[in-house]
Amino acid sequence: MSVISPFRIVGVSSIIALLFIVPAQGQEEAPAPNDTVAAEREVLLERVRVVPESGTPVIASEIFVAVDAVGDTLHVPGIAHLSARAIIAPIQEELVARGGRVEIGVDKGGARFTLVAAPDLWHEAMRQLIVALFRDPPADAAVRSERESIANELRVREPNPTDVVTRITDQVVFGDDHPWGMPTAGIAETVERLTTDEVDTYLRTHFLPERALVAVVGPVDPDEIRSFLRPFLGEDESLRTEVESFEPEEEPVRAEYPFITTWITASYLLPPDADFEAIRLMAALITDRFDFGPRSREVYNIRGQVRTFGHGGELRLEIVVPPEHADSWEDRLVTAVRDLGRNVLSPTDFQRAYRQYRGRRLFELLLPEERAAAHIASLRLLHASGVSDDPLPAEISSERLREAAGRLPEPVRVQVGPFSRPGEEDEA
Amino acid sequence: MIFPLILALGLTAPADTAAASSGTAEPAAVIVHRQPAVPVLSLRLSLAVSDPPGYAGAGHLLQHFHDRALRDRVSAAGGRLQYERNPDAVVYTVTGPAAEAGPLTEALLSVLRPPAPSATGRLVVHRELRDERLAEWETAGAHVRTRLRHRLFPDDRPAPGTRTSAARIEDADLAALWNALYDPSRVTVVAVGDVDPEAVRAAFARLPEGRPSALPPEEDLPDETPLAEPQATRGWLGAGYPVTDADPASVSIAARLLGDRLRRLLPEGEISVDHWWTHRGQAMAAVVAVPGPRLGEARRLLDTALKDLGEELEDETVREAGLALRREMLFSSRTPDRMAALIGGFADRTGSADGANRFHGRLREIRRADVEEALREMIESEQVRIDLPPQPLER
Repeated sequence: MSVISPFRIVGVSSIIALLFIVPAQGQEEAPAPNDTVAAEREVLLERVRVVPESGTPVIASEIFVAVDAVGDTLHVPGIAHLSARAIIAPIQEELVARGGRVEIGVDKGGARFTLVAAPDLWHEAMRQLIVALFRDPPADAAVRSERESIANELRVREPNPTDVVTRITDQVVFGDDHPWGMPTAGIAETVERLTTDEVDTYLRTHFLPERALVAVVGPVDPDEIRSFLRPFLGEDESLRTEVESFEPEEEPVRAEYPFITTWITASYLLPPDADFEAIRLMAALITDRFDFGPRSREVYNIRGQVRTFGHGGELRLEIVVPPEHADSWEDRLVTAVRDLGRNVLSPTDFQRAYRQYRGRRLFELLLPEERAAAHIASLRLLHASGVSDDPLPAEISSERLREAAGRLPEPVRVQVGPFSRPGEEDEA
Repeated sequence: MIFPLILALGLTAPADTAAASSGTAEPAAVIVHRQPAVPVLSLRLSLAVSDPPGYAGAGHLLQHFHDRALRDRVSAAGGRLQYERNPDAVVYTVTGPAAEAGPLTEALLSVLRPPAPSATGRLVVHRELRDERLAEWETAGAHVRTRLRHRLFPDDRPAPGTRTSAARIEDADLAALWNALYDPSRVTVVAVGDVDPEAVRAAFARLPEGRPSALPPEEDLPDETPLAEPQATRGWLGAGYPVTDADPASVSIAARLLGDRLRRLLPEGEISVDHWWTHRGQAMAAVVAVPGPRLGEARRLLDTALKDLGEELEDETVREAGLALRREMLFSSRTPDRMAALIGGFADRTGSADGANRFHGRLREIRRADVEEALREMIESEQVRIDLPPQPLER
């Protein structure tokens, strides 16, 4: 089966500027002067999603700042991660003492800041967070402290097999020189050399209100929340961010690494209009099927992850097996995915699997902050690609599953493990 | 109010001879709190009873037997099962998709009949309970808490039972154990999430009738001697302060303030100060772990902890502690199962469907004088002290 990857199309068309923050319609024509205020308000409203939930006892919000992990011209992996942690560190303790919680995450497309607070604390805490993100300069002490912490964490994690495999697979899928091919949190040696001035410059040029998307869920009034956030999120025109195209490897890749097992990944790149929910179900079926058991006694671990980037996404399946049977297990994994795209599951099998999957999926959204994160993912998809999706999982049929699996492209295949046996090098 | 949508469906229907003859009975209460943000529901069923005298561990034993069958049924519906035996009640909670409300409800109701395990199943469960009894003593922190509990609540018995009760419950007829425990009028159901109040009411309006029968009373001796040696690399101290009359909200605030104070004064220590509140009474329990060289200082601090705290009290700190506790209640109950646990725990403890709301509101009203009064009562009470020095390492 040959399916053209959407990113390959982007690559052929040379560098495409993908708009991260854009109104859904009418962007190509300059708005009439008397529409400017309305258009900006529309832009602002599109960047802010407020979901009232009357029975939820706290307010959860997520701010997503669209930056790439390596900092454009600086091209230093990990600068976004360090900057995010350094700018939040000074306010974190105080927020926790008052009953708020702030979490930080960085992915391929940007930095995420999640705040959970009681309703009587939320406005003040959110103000504090936004000011820290977009107005405060970084404190030198915070930069030094977080830099040291991150470098230590990275050194500890460096030999971790999961991290090794992720690094190698990212390089294969996105390319060595592509920002996404580099580790999001960076490398200990490069992070250690970052200075407070560099972090300050990065924050002033990248952590901008115009790059922010915000989702708020809880016992809130949407109009009141939008009025509250409007002064903070800026009124300038939306900032365009460019994402370089990338060309994944077409041939399977073998990376030598001194593990005792072999780690196999199959990475499926997804267009923005992919049926992500059906693909999540498919990933769950695959991991359940290959999980250690009577039919899979050799499998040490199996993992499936679906993530969205804004202008598409990725399904990544990972399985850990004995080296001598790695090729066989790789084929079995890819074939199992292919089979789901060819054959509709029997009603009994599908119903049994779907009932369990639905519960697991809903449990991923039990916390209000998880729902805020889901809305941010939906907003990213909407603004980057114009594709609208519902953060809450809808019902899936067996036919829909088959169709989604059938539309998957050929995977990028990577094996990481010991390909030369002891003594073979000497013999050679 | 933090739970504005609570509906306590008090089931006070007039006597119904038809219902009485059908072998069903009404629960104490069905409480519903709608949280429709996600199509998930959490159903918590609690039986507010103590184990029969001499048969400590009976309730928890039955839970273990139900666990296997129940977990598979709930998992097949995409749900999760949690169960616990606390001083107030035997509790089961199932959480899962709202679309599976029917199967989840049936699964939950199945615990209201005695289990029928195989001989192998009985052996496995007996071993699990034995391991739980040991676990209460094995780690230093659990050891200190267990000894504090024994001294503060001498009539309370641990959830997995005691050495003396273990032999009785392991050999007992499970139906007889169940009949000695089960009283439908002591069952409370809490439903939280994407729920239909009327559907919940209808599902739990009629419970299996009880067949009350008492077991021959036996002496129930607490385990005075620890069942296992604690692993203590630091010095561990426990201080328990029984409370009789003080407002529970005052005691909670006092516990919060004491914990903050001790952490400030013993930054190298591991400090927890909890408000223990069950239907048997209240107490404040402080557990402190410090490196050996700081043990003397920690002992001195605990000797005068309450008096010193009382002297330092300020209106502002009392107000802030109450506010922090209110926020923690909200934060900890932001999923359906945790909200159900919060509402149900207060209902079991106080007998009031609105107990959680009242407590939450009361925290705002507590003043310095209220906390001072609570501290005075604790100072005058018969305090309990546990001292566990660090184990010397063999050279």
